[in-house]
Amino acid sequence: MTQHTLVLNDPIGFHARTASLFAKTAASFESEVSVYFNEKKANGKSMLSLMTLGVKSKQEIRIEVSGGDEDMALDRLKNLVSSNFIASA
Amino acid sequence: MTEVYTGKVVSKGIAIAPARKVALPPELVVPDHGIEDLKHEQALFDKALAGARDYVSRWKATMNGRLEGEALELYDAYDEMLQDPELVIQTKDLIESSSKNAAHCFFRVTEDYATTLMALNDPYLSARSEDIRMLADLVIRLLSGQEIQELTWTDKAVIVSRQLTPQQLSSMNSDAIAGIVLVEGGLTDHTAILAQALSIPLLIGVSEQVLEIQNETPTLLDLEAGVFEVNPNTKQIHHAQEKLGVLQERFEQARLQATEKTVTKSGRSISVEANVGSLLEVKQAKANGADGIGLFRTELAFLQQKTLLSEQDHYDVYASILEGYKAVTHTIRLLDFGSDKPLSYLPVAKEENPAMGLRALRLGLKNYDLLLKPQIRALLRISKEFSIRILCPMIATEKDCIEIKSLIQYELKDLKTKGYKELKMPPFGIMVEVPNVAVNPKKFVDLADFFSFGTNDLAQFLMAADRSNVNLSIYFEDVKPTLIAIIEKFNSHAKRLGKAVSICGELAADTDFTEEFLDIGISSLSMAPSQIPIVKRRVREIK
Repeated sequence: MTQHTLVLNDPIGFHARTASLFAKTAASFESEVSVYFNEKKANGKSMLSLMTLGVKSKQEIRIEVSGGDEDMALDRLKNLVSSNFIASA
Repeated sequence: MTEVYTGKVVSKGIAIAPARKVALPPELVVPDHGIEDLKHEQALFDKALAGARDYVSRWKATMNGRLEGEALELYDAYDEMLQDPELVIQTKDLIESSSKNAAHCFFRVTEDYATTLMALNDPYLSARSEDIRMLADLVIRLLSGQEIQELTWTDKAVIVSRQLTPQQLSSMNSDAIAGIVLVEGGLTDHTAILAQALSIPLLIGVSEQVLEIQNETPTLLDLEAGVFEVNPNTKQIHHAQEKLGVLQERFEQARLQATEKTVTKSGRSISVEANVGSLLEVKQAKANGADGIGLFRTELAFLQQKTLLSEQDHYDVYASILEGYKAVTHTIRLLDFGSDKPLSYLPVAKEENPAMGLRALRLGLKNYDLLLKPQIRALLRISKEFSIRILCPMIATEKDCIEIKSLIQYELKDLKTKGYKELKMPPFGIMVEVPNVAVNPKKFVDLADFFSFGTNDLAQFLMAADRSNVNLSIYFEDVKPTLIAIIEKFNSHAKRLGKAVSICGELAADTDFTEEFLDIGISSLSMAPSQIPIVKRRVREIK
């Protein structure tokens, strides 16, 4: 298991577009991906689940990945979030 | 054989297109029963999801080319939600653990998501919860064989219906609506106003029999002649096509001239402005050469939302719309709706007579903190970026007028102490639409900076004739001389104090009266954007 905590800089937060990009990227890996925010946990491969976290701009999330390709997956997800969702999924 | 229907013409024009019936979809029923074959039920669920995705991809194909990038991406989001792993897995788990049917389980899972998103109190995510409910509705109808009604089609059609709500009309692609034929509906209700704004021919008060028409029957809606012909013959169609060509050419000519300066032959001028309620209409106003936005109906901002709007929500809605035509002054009317347009988030008791009920400022003042306060503060803030005037609807007494003005002044003072130091009071105006104001100019001309005649409401109150009742339309012809006399008297009092009077009801676009308005010295006429070129052309013909 590997994890990383970072700030979501997108001006709206986890909304349909950003949540969808995150979920698509996460789904391209075998590992399980979870996102934690305010003691809530979401399935990182589900856009709906990510949206229900209610993460707004400038708030901190923790990404937890576990599985065979966890390092690569975490790397890509970190890049995606820190590039403000420009890094392609 | 050709059948011919007549009615009241609300919006002129000609359409040659097949008929399509629109009715409110029957309410969704969520079946709830036990099942034995779990695997079979899960397979049915998979099949319904795939069916729903087919619908979504058809909608997207329909809108392709009409909607731009971001609006089109909505359909991709729908598609993704229908494949969302949590939604699918949780539903299947629930089918197994509860031994209940898929429709029931999917409803429970999606409602859970919708409620959670709604509770986050974020307008953006609340809108997504509406999307989920819409998709759940679609999947459940597919699972249980309930009728699915699509209001999206690519070709042009004439809508035939008993009634059509403003919401229904807004949800449809206006390009695909060639014309509208209704059994009920009023001359000046919001559907009528929207149809005029979109230049869609609209005929109302048509005999009930019209509802027996089959979908796709060829029709000819000629509202220059005031008739709806079902199964027209080729000669009739040919004749209508010729007329349509002439009309389009004439309108195009007027539109080309619309942005040129509008003065009479002797150099007199009058500002020809637009009534708007959306960005689309603001853009039309600009394209048609409007000299200003004479009436911005803000109620659409309230009606289209599912939750109460915050001050910032108001600000964002108005900023995005005003941005569509930044160069001119926008006259923005405070909320005007009542029990005839109920809001899901604000329960209002049903009234016998909503037009004369707890509506507009009466409703706004009663729920001041929820409705008017955020709106007023957003408008004051926006006056820093745009040239605006604030217009108050349904003023009946001097007290009404003084009360709302002092509330605006109070919010201004408060904002100034909270970092908006340089804000100034925008021009403050009132609608003249209640007879007690209209016939008492002396009492009111001191109280506001400008006045706007709402002739639609004033007419119905003067004649005690409900404007949505088709049988009473005759009164709205007879009221015109009275309206002109009242406007003239009011204007002469306002003029003495150098205050502007404008007209924003139906009468403003009536070219029979343009000359009279110029003679009286009315400062501006405000109308549906589509009427502007016609009125401007009339102004140029006058001495």
